[in-house]
Amino acid sequence: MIETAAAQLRLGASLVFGRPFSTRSLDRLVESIQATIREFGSVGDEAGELLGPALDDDALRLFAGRRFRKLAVRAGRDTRYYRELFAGSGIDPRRLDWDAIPTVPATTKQALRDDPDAFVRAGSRPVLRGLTTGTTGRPTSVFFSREELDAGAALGAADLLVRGQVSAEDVFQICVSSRAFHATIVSAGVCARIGAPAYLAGLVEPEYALRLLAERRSLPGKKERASILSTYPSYLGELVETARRLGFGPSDFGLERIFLSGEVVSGGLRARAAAVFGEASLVEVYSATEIVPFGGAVCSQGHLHFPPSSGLLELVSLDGGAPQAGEPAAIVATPFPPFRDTTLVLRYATEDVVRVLDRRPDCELRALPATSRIVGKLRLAVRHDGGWTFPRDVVDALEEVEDVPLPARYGFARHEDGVRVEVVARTTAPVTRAAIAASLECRGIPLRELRVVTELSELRAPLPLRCDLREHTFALRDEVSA
Amino acid sequence: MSSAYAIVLAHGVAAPLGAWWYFRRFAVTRPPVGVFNERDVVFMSVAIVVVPFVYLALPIAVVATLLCLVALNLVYVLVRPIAGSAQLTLGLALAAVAADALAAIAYGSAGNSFLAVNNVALVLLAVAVANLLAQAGMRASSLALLAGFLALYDGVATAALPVMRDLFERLGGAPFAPFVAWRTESGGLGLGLGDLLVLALAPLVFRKAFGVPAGAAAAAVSVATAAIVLAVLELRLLETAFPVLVALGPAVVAQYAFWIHRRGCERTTREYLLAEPNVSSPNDAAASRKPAFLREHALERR
Repeated sequence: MIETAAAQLRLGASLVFGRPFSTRSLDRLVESIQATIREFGSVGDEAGELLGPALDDDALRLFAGRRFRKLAVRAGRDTRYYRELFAGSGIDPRRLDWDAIPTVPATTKQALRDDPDAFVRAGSRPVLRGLTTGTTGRPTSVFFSREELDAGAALGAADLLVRGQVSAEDVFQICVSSRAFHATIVSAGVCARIGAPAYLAGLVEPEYALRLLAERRSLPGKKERASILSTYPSYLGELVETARRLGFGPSDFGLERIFLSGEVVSGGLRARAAAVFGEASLVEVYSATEIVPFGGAVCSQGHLHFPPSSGLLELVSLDGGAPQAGEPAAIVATPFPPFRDTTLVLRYATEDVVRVLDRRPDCELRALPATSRIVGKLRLAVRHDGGWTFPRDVVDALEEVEDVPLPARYGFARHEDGVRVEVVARTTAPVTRAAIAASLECRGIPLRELRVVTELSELRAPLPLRCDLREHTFALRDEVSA
Repeated sequence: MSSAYAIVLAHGVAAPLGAWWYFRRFAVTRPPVGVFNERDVVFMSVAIVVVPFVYLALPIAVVATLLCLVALNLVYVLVRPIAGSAQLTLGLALAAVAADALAAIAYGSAGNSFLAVNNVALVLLAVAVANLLAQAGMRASSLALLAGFLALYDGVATAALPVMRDLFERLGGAPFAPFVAWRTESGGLGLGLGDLLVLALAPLVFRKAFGVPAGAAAAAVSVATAAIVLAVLELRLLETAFPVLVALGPAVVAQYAFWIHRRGCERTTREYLLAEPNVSSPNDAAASRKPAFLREHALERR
């Protein structure tokens, strides 16, 4: 207990003063959490605050204002991009207070993509270059130090243990792109600290991924089948569709939890996944390589919550300025040191859009700043006379229709005063078409034209899906020839 | 046997009984993360060696203040699950500390009037510390390690060195003087706080680790050991000071060796509570005294 208390104090010093994390202390904290769970069955009710306490509005302004100013001073001194930005704009980072934060120009994806080295802090020791998977264009680079990787893995392990989402008995299958190097390295570190065996299956043929999920093993002290799956919603859609085609059902799998990130998770996907994977709970996580480890988690009521200790969340109206309750707004994020200490970004414009909550949440994470779930990328959204239509609106409507195979393959664009939607369905029969149209209109989408096709190649402008970052294996071919 | 023997032994019996009763009914507030382990035993051992010298070096007013603050904290932790509200708990804890402090001021080391109050206070503190340690997940192996060390240390510090004698003389009239004692015309008898703590702690830890028989046996062995040592001292069969822990420590170590050989492994707190749920009343306040995982199960059943 004494060591745990010392480790907590060390962590607290890092959170409050921005001092570098002590990996040793973080690892000790993870061990202590595991020992607590072994002894008592669970951690105490207040354990969630170990990794960053909840802050009221005044405390948040004070805390985040100071941390932002400190980071801005550092970025202006130690990075080429912000040195030139502050010199050119006449902003003195030492005088930035809470109210002046919006005067710092947002950092665009284009700026980071064009010259990622200009964001790397002088004196840092980058050891890993994380490339985004590039579903929104040319990949963006972010550099990480060894300390960031170690701390990210230890904090991730602590967070999952405290939430009771992963234990040492779990077996973890990772089905994300192998090019998501940072995410997979950190995931492996998280699992190693927890003691849960993990393997990177990648985005292989769904048949092979399903066989890996279904295979029984006899590792001592571990569950006999994969119990945790981490993947993208679109790939989960492919797994669900393939499993149904091959006749797999809940009894064929041992999945207890599915972590989903990178894309919108629809209600239809949830329902159809339940039919295949049984009672496995779907855990939605929001993160992006550019701002990692700052990110959000979805609560039981469907809000997206952001921990204030690891970064600053700003919501900017799509017309600029402060958004009103219920309005869509873009996420502008600033990851704070020591969580992020190599590639520094201030006010990074993620292009991810959410809706501002119209009332304060009363969920289990109510103490943390919250928004709606992500509704989609801004540049994939369509503005029309009736407002905005976002990818979530469309995918929610389409995946509700059984005749639309998962993941929904679709495109949409402005047409007349509303939108035009094109989608791949199992059939182009009138009844299917009517069901799709009804589902779209039921969600308030001003449908002006609907094009239903049966082949992906027939779509004129399909939205990119991460499941198409496909990797190939010889495993299935070998099994067939054997 | 003298009245001193009966009174001191009665307090030596009250400590394990009180600790046992409390242990089965109330959950003290524990840190959300952390389990008492062997490294804590090492830390405690170092503190046990160092603190007497600190107390001997500091002005008595400072030491008395420190003792009162520690006692206030312990009584607060002990009473909180019983009293419910924080204000009432604080009031009761302040009253308990004030009673002992006023008794010390009024009677000092003059006699049994102060000891009568202080003895009760010491039993309360032993019950509090025993429950804090046992409910923090202390394992029987850790207890054996601690008891073994205390036996060695107390033997040396009491019998061979003047440290304990000097300490007891210095703190004899201070609030929360660290012993249960009673004076008689022919002298007196006493149990140190360490003795009292092991008496209260051993039954809880052995019960958690190995079950009711082990806990009951630990209580019986501990009390019997204390009774025999006190009788030896009462009858003046020994000429030198002989701390109860010198006999109690090996008894705890022997019990641990017996039970671990017989059972193979210790139970965790979770396993203990699943096998022997705490005694609780049917209202929500009682439910809140249960550990988190048991509360969750109860809610699910509703």
